[in-house]
Amino acid sequence: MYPRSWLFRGVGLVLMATLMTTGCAKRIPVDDGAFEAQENVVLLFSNDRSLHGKIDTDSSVRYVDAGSSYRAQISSVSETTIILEGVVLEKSAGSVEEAALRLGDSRMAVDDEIPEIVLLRSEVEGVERVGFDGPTTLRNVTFWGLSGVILGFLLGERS
Amino acid sequence: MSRSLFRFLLALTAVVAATPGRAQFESIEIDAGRFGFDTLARLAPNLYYRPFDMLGTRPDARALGMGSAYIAMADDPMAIGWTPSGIAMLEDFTLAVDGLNRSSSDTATGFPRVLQIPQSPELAISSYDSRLKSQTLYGSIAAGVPLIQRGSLKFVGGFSWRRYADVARAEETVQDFLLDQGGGFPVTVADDSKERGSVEAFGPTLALQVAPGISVGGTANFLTGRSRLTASTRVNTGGGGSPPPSTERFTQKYDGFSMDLGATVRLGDRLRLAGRLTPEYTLDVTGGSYEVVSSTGVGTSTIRVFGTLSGYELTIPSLLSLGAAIKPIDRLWLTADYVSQKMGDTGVVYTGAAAQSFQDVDVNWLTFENGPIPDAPGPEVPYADLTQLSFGAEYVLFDKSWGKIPVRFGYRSTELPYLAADSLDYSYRYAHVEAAEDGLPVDELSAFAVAQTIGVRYNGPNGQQPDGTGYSFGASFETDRVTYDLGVDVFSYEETEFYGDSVWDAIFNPNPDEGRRILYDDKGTPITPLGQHPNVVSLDRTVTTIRFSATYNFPGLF
Repeated sequence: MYPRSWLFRGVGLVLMATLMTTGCAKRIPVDDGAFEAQENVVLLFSNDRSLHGKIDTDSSVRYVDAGSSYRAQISSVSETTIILEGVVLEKSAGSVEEAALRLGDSRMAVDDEIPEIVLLRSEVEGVERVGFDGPTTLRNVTFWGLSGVILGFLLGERS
Repeated sequence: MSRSLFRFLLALTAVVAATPGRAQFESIEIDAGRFGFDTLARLAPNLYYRPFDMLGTRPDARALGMGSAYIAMADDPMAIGWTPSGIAMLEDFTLAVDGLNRSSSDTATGFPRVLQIPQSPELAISSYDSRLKSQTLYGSIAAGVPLIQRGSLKFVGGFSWRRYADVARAEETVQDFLLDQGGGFPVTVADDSKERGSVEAFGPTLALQVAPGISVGGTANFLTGRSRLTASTRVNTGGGGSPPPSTERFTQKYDGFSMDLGATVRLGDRLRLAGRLTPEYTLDVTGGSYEVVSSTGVGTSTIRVFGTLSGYELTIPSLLSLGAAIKPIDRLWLTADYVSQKMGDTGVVYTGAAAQSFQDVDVNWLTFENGPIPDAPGPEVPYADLTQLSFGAEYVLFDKSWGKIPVRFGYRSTELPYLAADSLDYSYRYAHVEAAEDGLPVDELSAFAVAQTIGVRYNGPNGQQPDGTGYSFGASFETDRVTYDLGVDVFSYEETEFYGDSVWDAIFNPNPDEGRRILYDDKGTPITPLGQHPNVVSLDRTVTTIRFSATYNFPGLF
């Protein structure tokens, strides 16, 4: 077996796994807005903001503000606020200036060492629980699995 | 000839011969040179009597379930294999894949019940099974996407890689022998043919919806592919000491270009008409490397015969397919298709140096000492006109919010596009006849007192065209984005093949008149009537094809 063959097989397996698992998660609205700290949820805030992850102290979460995505860690959770620290911009929507303007407009208090975002729980407009989308996963696995098998037969016939 | 003769020698060695103190034998190599179809027909009939099939390769399990009465229903990327105009119905980027499994069950009649091996007890043939080998194959990978839409005018593009024509025909044969006097070990002789490959097509498709419900399309098929045969013959004596297996190899490569043109008309929601025309095209076939390697027993000589089938251009006649679909009530579609291809007009022209040299090939190993028979420069191939009439039905059994389940049924009547092996295709060459033709004096002809076969002559195809009927069924599961289809087709027909894949050899397919006394008239003309043709085995064959396909929509992807 040549290294190149292993490389092709590896790339093919990664590609296949990606295709199979893409779209396997689904978001289910929680009517009463209640959630547990261990649950993977999406909190929808006013002004096109959302918080993704487990809402618990020291939990790593993703914060989205008008399309820009930040990686952060929850420093504290109270009945009124959720405070994020260690905020790092992952993906910017629009120009840097626009992003800076949005951050300036937000309820962000930046001290000398650690940027911090204070989110008011009173601004939560909705809660969605992130679950496993069984039908979509089954659909993807069967289709891409079948496609992979048929592609394998095609390549095998020409090898 | 060679394979079965070698097989006999293997069996003979294993069953009959007790050979202590074997001598050391050298390998024997025979170069058959560059030969043509006449020689191939004598050398390996299994490579000669087979269809060039463009119908069985049409994709989509949905189509198979409807008895292949489908052209007017084709409306997803798989439509590229039916009529390119069908993809004009696509609304989103759509990807489709298709595969199949094919197998057969056969009942053989007409094979000899006893083999008479010189200086040994008779071998009784207790069973003889010959069937198409079960194979799982890819069918098609195709995609289509709307490109431009201006009002009712719509351009849709597609691309496919698909099986275009089947040329492989893998078979397996198992024979059981018993010593007629009840002694010795039972012997099993098994031929296992692994054959892969097909004529494949890849290329773009463009469909245009010229008005609501009316679309035309075309596909450019860049043809490629190769077929590879690796066959082995194994002998199991049950008592150990089985001889080594013999092997046979043959390869060919295909290159060419063809166009598929099609049109679809939708008259309202309840009637559809469609057609497809594949104009005549030419395939360049090269690389016909052939080899047989065998041994007559453990520690004995190895015999290797090798040669090359001359390269040739194969001109495939045009294929016409017409179909209609009608929806008499909600949930029900009824369809009918007609396909015609004048495969009897298939042309073969040898290409390159091969066309000059094959007539000089030394085939003495086929015809013994009496010299070669030159292959005809314009060979005949055993193809016949193809006609297929099929009917299908699709009924939506369930239509719920979570999905839809249509079920399908179909019937077809098909004349397969080739002529089966026939005893009239060959005639024996007799030593006394050829000696007379060579001008041997009358008084010396008396030396040929008995019939002695020195080979066979290929006379051209005279066999029957196999035809049969097929029944099919299938079902789909359709969700919002993905559709899974399953189709099953059971097709039954009768054909013939030479026993042991041999047109003549001394044991498996002997001339029954061998050794008969020859009488001459005063002018030296032989007056003893002799049989002229080898025997064939009849096969009642049922081929089961299972197709599975899936279609995935990607709304808004492009």
